[in-house]
Amino acid sequence: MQEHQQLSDSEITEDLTAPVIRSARWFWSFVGSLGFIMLVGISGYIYELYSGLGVTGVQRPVYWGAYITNFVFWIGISHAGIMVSAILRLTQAEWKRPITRAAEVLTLFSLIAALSNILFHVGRPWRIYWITPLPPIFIGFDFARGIWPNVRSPFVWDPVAVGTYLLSTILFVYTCLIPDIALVRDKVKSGPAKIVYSILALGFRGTPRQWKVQATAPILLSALVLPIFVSVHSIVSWDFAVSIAVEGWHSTIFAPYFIIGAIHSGVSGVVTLMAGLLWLYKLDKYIKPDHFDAIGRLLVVVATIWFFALFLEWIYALYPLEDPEIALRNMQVSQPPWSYLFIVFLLTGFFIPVSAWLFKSVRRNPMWMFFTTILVNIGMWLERFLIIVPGLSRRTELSFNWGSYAPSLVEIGLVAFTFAFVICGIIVFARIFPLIPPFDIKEGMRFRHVIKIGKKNISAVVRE
Amino acid sequence: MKKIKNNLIFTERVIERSLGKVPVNKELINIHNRKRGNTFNSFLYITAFLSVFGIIGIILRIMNGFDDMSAWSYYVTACMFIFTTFMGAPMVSMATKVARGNWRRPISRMSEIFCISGIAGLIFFTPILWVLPSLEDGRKTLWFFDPGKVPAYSPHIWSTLALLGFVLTALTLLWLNARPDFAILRDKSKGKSKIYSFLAYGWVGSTHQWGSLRDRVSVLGIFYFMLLLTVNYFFASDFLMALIPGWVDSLYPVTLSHNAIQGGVAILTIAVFIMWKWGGYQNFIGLDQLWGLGKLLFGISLLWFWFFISSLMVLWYGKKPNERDVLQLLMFGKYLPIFLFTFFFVCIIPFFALTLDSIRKSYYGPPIIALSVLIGNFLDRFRHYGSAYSLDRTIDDATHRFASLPDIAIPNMVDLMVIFGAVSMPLFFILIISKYVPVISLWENREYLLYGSHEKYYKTEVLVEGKPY
Repeated sequence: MQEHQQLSDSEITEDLTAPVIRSARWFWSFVGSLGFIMLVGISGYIYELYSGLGVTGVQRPVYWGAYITNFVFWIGISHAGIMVSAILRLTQAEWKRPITRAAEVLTLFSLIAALSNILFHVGRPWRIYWITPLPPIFIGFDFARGIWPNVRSPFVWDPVAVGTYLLSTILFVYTCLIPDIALVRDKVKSGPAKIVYSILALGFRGTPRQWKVQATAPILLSALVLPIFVSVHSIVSWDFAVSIAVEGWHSTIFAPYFIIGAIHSGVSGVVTLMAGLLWLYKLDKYIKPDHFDAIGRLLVVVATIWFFALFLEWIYALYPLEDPEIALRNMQVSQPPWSYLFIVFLLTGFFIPVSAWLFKSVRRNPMWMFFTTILVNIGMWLERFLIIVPGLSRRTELSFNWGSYAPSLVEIGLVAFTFAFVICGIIVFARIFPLIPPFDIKEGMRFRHVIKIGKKNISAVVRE
Repeated sequence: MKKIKNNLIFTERVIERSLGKVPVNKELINIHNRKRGNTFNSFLYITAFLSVFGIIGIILRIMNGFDDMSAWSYYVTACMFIFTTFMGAPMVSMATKVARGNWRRPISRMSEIFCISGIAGLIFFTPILWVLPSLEDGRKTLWFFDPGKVPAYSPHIWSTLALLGFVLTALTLLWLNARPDFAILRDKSKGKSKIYSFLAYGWVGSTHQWGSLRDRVSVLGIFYFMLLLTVNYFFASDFLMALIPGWVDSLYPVTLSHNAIQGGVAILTIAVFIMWKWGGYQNFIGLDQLWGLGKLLFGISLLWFWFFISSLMVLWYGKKPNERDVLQLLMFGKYLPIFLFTFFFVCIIPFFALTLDSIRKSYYGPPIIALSVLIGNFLDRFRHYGSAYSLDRTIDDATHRFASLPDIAIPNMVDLMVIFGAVSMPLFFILIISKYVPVISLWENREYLLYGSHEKYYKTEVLVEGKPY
């Protein structure tokens, strides 16, 4: 990091707790707008519950549509938190400090958004507990069930993996929050907020022992949460890959391909969020062009590996030279609307952003990074759509079953709901807890040094 | 295990030098220029002898002809072992340079020196081109054979070109990184100054030269990684998967590249241990380096499991006849013991041993585990290439499955000569080159003197490291 700005502890505390202490002018109007979108989505869901899944665009043979696409997309975004927070924590990357909390919170809300898509997708959500291996005695006299979940099915692994990931993410976010909750507790004068913050701070007073535990816990949690991070999207990929019935799905590279795609999409999501926070909360003292540059370089590597995985997925799909597989790939690249979507996917998911990120001036510009990372996520949403829908639409040998899929208004509303929910969740979270961890920034200030080499000052860091 | 409490041996000593106590270049040049001891020379002669043995093995194998592919199973295994072990080691230098990890400095040159083993790889690879069938026999290929449009020898042409590019890039990378050191040796060494003058190629250490060195090394490093992926992609597809009817595994090229990096880290760990223990570099190589390599090995071993399970899950659940055949051939059939040993040596031992801090953070732990990984890596190559090259590719018309599965081939005398030769020849080249190229980079360690310093921090002293762009 070349751009070094020494800030005092009190300045950091003031700057970073300000959004918690008082609402910004735009806060209520922004949250209100997002609330309206969410309300529209919820109305659509009530309508779907009342009318059944017929109001969605899914039909024979495409039984998976926008909801499952959206589920995979949000699971992908959720990999941002662990990628940025856990991996960079373990590798002691200094530039991670201002962005870890935002990334973790993004993980949290995107996981909830992902899970909500499963609720939207199933026909009878009140029987969602059927996926749990609980015998009927624990859930009342539900004799209709009479079956035990098939533990060999990826559909049972999914809730286990995603549930574990959600729990560990909550634990991760909360553990890292404790010193900052204590800080806010001490800043808040009185009233119910003080009581709530006091309870949540778990008696944190900043004793040497507490700090020692505080320093160790996130590292341990990072190491523990990494296998979960890998397992979650691997399992999501196996929802598709273990099936041989759908062309284009049965590929061994799916697990790494999904994971690297998730990292590509998730880290891009973090950059979008960083730029948003920078503008909304005027955090230019904390989020510097250097941060965008570092994460931009990381994204170039991640995107290239992802593209290599995409290349392998395609080339090995064609390798056996089986007619149905060739027909599917042909449909994806040459038959509208899939071909248009495919071109948009390639351009937005890889070619435009990666070409742009090769330039330092783009990587260091928050505005450019904001737009290019949004492009990535448009591309990554389309990627999941193109994996799921075209394959399914060819999945039949009966001519009367031939059909395709277009999302209905209800589905569009609920997809919009998830986006509004995640943005709103983060904004509300930032109103309650500091979104840039003051204690981490203060620690970073203490570890920062400058070494003079010849006539040049080089940023340095204390090695623990 | 010898447990060393001080984990900053290297850095502390470097800081001592920064205070002017020990001149880093002088000490390293003295070690480099010293007369090699009996152990070094004995090892050099043994590897030279075994390399000659290996070349005789290659000639004998060629004289037996190319028609019987099963006779080549150990040969191909040995050749692939070179590429998935020795040629993976330079990735440690490239990756840690990109991550700007200062702990790499004492070991990065050793890692780059492994580039020289590409020459041995090329020697062993050349005859395989005659073993590999052309596309006219109807086998599947990624080149989608079309008579008149796509040459019947596409895999041979493109893989040779890729391999040549890979080895040339490796050698260029080694030379580029060592060029400033050649210049130092040109100016400071007596006797060999003409050679060093030639190798330094006019290096005077101008700002422009340093700038271009940094850029070229970065670009070539990325290029090396891409070529590593490409070469392993060819080795996985046309030299392996295409020879097992029905095996479609889009992940395997990535798995093989990963195996190459794992093997590379393992062999580098052993090399670094030897340098520390017997090479006279105890002032430069400390726990930091072996610990760092141990951590890398641990992470990579976990990845091995993930790649393995990602492939297995899909093939196991698919249960198509061809998939069952592939699993039967590579894992659960006659090659089951090889698979179990591979799994044990490459995944189980590294994972459970390196989880323990006392082993990971020690001088003896990582090299012992690395040895296990190397054994496992060889077995893994044999499991794949040995079975593929000795497979009778007849498919039973009624069941759509292999008519028979091959037995595990027992190596004959020629196979043993080839195997020992394949392991020894790269080592021989490395030993020879180590007489001319300093095995610890002079300029990288000298550079660190500028970036590292000990400073007072409240009541203690800490190491402060500069991280320049």
